[in-house]
Amino acid sequence: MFESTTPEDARLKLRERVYVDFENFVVDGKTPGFLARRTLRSHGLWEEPGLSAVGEQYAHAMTHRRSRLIVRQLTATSIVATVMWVSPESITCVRHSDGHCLMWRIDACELPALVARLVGFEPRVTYDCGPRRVKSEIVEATTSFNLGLVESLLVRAAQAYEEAPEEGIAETPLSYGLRNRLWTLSMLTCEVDAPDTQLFENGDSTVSVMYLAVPESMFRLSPSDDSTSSLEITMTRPLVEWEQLTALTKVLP
Amino acid sequence: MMDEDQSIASGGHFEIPLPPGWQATPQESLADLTKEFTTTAAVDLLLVFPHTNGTFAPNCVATYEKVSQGDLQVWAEHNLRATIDLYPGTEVVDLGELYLSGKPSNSYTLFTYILNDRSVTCVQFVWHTPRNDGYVDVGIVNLQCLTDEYRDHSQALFDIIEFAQMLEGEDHVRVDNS
Repeated sequence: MFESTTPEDARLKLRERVYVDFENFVVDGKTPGFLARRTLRSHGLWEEPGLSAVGEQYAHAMTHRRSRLIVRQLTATSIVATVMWVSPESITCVRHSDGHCLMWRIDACELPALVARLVGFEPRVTYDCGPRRVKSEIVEATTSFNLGLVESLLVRAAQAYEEAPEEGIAETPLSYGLRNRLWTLSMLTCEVDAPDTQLFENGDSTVSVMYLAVPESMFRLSPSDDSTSSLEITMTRPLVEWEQLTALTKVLP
Repeated sequence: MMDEDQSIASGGHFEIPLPPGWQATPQESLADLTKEFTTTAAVDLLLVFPHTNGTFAPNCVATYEKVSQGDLQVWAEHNLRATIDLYPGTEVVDLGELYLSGKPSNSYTLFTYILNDRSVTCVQFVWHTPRNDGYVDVGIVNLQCLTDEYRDHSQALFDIIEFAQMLEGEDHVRVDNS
C-alpha cells in the first residue's frame, strides 16, 4: 500500500471547524471571515486573496468532482467518516473523527484498495449464521451517526434471535459479536455528480451499501423483499462484493 | 455458460475453455515465460483477451508445480508471501476456500496491486491434488484485469475458473486446438 493512502501519513490535520470553512469556500464560494482566513493561512491553505497553491491542490478534486464517495464506519466506541472527492485528475480524501479531520490526496489507482480497507474488506473465516434481520431504522441512525441507537438496534437483533433461534443454535458468532460490542458497521455511499453518466442501472445518482462485520464474519444489510420494516442480514465476503465496489470506485471521465 | 463448440486451450496440466474473444498464447512462447518469471513452476497456459487499446489486457496464467506432501503448508505460505512481495502496492482483500463441483480442494486470494499507475485486480486460485508418490500436484490460476474493468470481465474470469480442468499426473500429450 502506498504511504499516501494511510490517513496517519496525511499532510494536513485540521480542526473540524477549519475544514468546514475551507469546504464552504471551495464548494459554495463562501469567503471565510478574518480569523478563519488566518487559521487557513497557518495551515498553508490560504494566501490572500484566495487559496494558496497547496489549497488549490486539495480543492481541485472538490471543484472538478465527478463523484463523491462517503464511508461511514461505526464501532461500539468510535465514529469515523471518510469523504473522497473523485475527479479525473486527482482524489482528495477527508477523514472526520473526534472533531478533527485529516486531509490527503491519492491517485485514482489507489482508490479501490483504500475503499476496500475503509469498509472492512479483509480475509475472515466467515460463518453463515443469524440473526437474519435488523430494524431498518439502522440506516437513518448510521447516516446521522446516532451511535447509541445503532448499538441498541444491533443488541436487540441479537437478543431477539437468541430468544428464538431460527436454526437451533442460540449463540452464533454474529449474535455474540453484537452483544459483546465487537461489531463494525460500514456504509459506503456513492454520489455521482456527472449528469451525463449513468453509473447505476436504475438511473439513481446515489447508491449506498451497508456491511456489518464481527471478527469472524462479514454480512451485507439489504432491504427485505417482504416490505417489512427490517433489513436482511446476509453472509457475504469481499470476493462476492468486489464487482460492486469496483463499479462504485470507478473514476468517471 | 460454456458453449459446446467453444474451443478449449490445452496445456500439459490444464484444459481451459476459451471465453468469447479470448486467445491462447502458443505453447512455444510459454517456455521463455517460464524461464523469465518463475524458478520452480512451469507456465502451462496463458490466455489473453486482447481488446484493450494498448492498456493492460485481461489475462489468465495457469502454472503447475509438484510439491512434496509434507512441504505443502510451507509452500502455501511461501506462495502467498511471494505473491505479495512480487507486485507493488499489493493489498490482500480476501482469501479463503471456494468449493466448486468436480474440482480438487482449492483456495483463492483476491488482491489488488498498482501497475503503471493503474489498479489491477488479481484473483489467484490454487488447486492441489494428492498423488500416490508422496507429492501433490499444485495448479495455480491467476486471473487479472484492470480494477475499473473488473465488472466487464468478471463473468469471463469466473467462467474460466468454473470450467477449467486440472489434469492428473504429468504425462499428458498436448492437443492443439488452434
